[in-house]
Amino acid sequence: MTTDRPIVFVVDDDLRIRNALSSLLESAGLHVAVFASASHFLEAEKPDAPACLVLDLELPDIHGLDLQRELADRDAPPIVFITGHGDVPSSVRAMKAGAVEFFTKPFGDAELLTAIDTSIQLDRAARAKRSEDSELRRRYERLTSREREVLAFVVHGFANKHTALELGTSEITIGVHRGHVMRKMGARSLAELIRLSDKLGIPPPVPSAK
Amino acid sequence: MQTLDHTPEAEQDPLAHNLRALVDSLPLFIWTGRADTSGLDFVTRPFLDYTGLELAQVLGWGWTETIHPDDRERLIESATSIVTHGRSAETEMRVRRFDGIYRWFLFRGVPRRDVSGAVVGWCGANTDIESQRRSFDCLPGMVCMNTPDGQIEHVNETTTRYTGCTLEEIRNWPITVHPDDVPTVASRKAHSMATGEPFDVDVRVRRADGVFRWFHCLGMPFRDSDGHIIRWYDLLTDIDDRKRAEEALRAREREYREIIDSLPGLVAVWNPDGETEFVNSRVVDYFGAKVKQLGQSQRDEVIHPHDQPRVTARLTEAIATGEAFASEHRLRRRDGAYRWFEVRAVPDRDREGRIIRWPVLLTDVDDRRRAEDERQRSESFLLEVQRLSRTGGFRFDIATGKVESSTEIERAYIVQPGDDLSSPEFWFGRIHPDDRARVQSTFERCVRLRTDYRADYRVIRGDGTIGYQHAVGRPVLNAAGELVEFIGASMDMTDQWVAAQELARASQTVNDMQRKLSRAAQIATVGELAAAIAHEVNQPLAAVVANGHACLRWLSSAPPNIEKAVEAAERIVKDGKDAGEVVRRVRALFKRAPIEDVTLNINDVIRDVLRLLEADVTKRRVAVATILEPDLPAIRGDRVQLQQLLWNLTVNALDAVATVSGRAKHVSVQSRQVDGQAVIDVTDNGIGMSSPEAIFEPFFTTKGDGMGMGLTICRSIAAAHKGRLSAARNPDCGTTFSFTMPLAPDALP
Repeated sequence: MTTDRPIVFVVDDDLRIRNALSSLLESAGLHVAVFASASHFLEAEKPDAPACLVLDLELPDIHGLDLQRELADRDAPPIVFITGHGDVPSSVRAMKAGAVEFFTKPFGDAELLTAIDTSIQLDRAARAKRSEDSELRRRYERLTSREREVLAFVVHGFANKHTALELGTSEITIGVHRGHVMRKMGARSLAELIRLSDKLGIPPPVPSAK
Repeated sequence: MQTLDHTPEAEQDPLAHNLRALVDSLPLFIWTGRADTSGLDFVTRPFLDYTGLELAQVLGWGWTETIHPDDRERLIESATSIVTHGRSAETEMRVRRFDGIYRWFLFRGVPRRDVSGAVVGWCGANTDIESQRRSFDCLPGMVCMNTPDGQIEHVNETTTRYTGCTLEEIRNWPITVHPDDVPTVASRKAHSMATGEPFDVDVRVRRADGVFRWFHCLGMPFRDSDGHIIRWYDLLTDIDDRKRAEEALRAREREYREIIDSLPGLVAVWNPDGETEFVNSRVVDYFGAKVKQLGQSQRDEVIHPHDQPRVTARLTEAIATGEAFASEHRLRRRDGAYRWFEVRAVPDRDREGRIIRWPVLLTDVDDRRRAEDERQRSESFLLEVQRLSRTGGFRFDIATGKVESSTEIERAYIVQPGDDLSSPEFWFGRIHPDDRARVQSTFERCVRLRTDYRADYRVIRGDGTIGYQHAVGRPVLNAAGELVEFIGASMDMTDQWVAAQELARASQTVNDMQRKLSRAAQIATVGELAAAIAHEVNQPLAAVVANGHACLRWLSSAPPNIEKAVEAAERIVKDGKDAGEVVRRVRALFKRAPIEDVTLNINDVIRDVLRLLEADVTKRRVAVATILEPDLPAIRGDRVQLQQLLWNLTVNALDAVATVSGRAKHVSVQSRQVDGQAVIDVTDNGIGMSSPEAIFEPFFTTKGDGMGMGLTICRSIAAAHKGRLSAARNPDCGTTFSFTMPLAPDALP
């Protein structure tokens, strides 16, 4: 389910904290989902929406920092850490690994809500970028293999004539391919096509030794 | 046909007629002459055909006109001599043919005698030898024919072509011979003419273009049947190329000899039997001139007596087997001093593999040898010292980042084959993981700051066991003040450590108490306890705060959500109770009854604690007085808890006097009996405190590094023993802590 209504995931093994945070965040108009352990969180089906993860540092099954590391390459939402023992090394490590905030219990509502808000904004931007990237990727996949070859030459500054020579075909054919590429990629100009290719990270073609 | 004999008998005699026809048909010229001077009286037909002359033109002396001018006189003389001397003669001559061309003929003449034996005339025959003469001319060497007295009679064409001279010119032979050679040639020739012996001589002959080339000249006499020399033949063969090659060879040999003499080594050559055949001038310089006559015995004589058996054995073996010889031994200089030489010889063999000689190179290695000996001595000395002190050396090269280590350090680390000893990573990697970061950072800091280095650490040795190292080092700077290397020594302390460990194990009891009561353990216990309490209290507290915020938010929302606010408030109450429960549990923890309930002498407890603190007390320079009531009755309680109580009080007292200055630091521990109770007073002369009762509150501390739990725990322990802990300011300065507890019931009188 894709929605733009943000959601806050709270992972804490202490029921009292879960209940209190749930109530506090709902009172601020946020949608909340609570989990008693990291594995519950990982296994749960989560809505496709901008989100924030409020994570207790000391969980029964896995340390918060380890979970953070595990989530790092999974497009997971930004993390706000809460902990009973606020030791400096852990907080430094958490922040270095990209946590938005690190709160020692007990903490004030305003700070927590601000951090959650920041996280959601970050996640929203990241999601937009991911979606744009996947749209672009989808368009690129629609190109025939010949069109991809032509695209690589075009965006790396090869003239049609040169491209034709390299691919062993006529200049006119290259012109036609190029038109298809522009249309399929949804580029209105060569400049835009180049910009889109940059995002896709298209490598430069390897010209023959001719 | 014309005849010479005009007698009618002859004309009519058929026999004579036939004989004449026969003679005329012979391929020879046959002549006859009379004993007077009237010349020729008969000649056969072939001569007339050959010369194209009439008989009348040739008879008498007319024939001489057909003889080559050069030969004419000789021939006349020769012919005349037959009659004059009555003996045969032989000569060669050129006779002009009808077309004007001269051809060579051999003339042979014999005397004609009457029955009485008197010479009446002569007769002779001429044979055409032109083709022989041609081949003579074509001989690939220069040939001279000489008269018996050595006058040049004829030379072949090769000679005239080479010299570019006519025969006439060559007759004066010295003009064609190199002036330096003329006397030799002349004397040899003269000798041979006199004795009839052949001669041979090398002579330079001038070519037409003026260049002199070497020839080998061989002169042989030619004798007639009577053995008289009738001619000398000289054959000159061009040996210039060979001569030059020989000369070049000699020059090269000279050059090699010079090179060998100038070699910076001593060179000799032995024959296949090992006897000295040749020595260069350096050998002579070293051993003296008599070395040139070196026989086997003299050579042995110059070898140092100590080395001689060994060298002789090896030499004999080399000569016998043909294997290369190499030896280092001392050789006596001409002034009698011995120097070390490296002597090497490899046999030279011919194509069949036979040894033809032994070139020998003697290199003076005396200086190197002495330096080596010196170095070995000092090296083994250092090694021995390292071994004895169990100290290894290391060197860290800043530029290359490589490590050099000594054998002893490698032994201490028990390095294994394949270990990369030059890599600092290897050495740091061998340090016990718990010590590694500390040692490495210390070392790196010392390198950075160029300061002396000192570290004690454990290493995991190559066999998996643990070793102990005490390392020191210092930076080495070059003249420019740049850090070049870091050198150091590392002492293997493993044995000391093992001994210490064994000592520790032997005093197991002490060790146990130490472990239980050590300050570190105490602090850790208290710290863990505090952290646990903090967490236990913190959780409900955090929930209370969050619930409080939620409650306020629900109330202040529009419209207020009373239901949610109430829920939040109810959770606050519940969570608050939870926190209270935690606090109650902590109190219960401290009020817990003694684990052990045994009969104890309180004085023993005091002595145990003071013994454990002895080192600490000494270090702090505090005078600790112990005043123990000798007959103090026993008490009942938990030894360890009481030790901990007393430990805390004593350490507190030591801490209290830590900052005292201007007077001696005093701490006293006293035991006494008061009203059926045991009392322990711990007194210090420190600065004291303002409110003695506040110090028992949890988390009260006057120390920067304290938790503030020490006295709280002490008070709990005291309470658990039905005792009392109090503090009072001393009249002068400092504080006295008094612990009072009941005596054991059965100990009471």
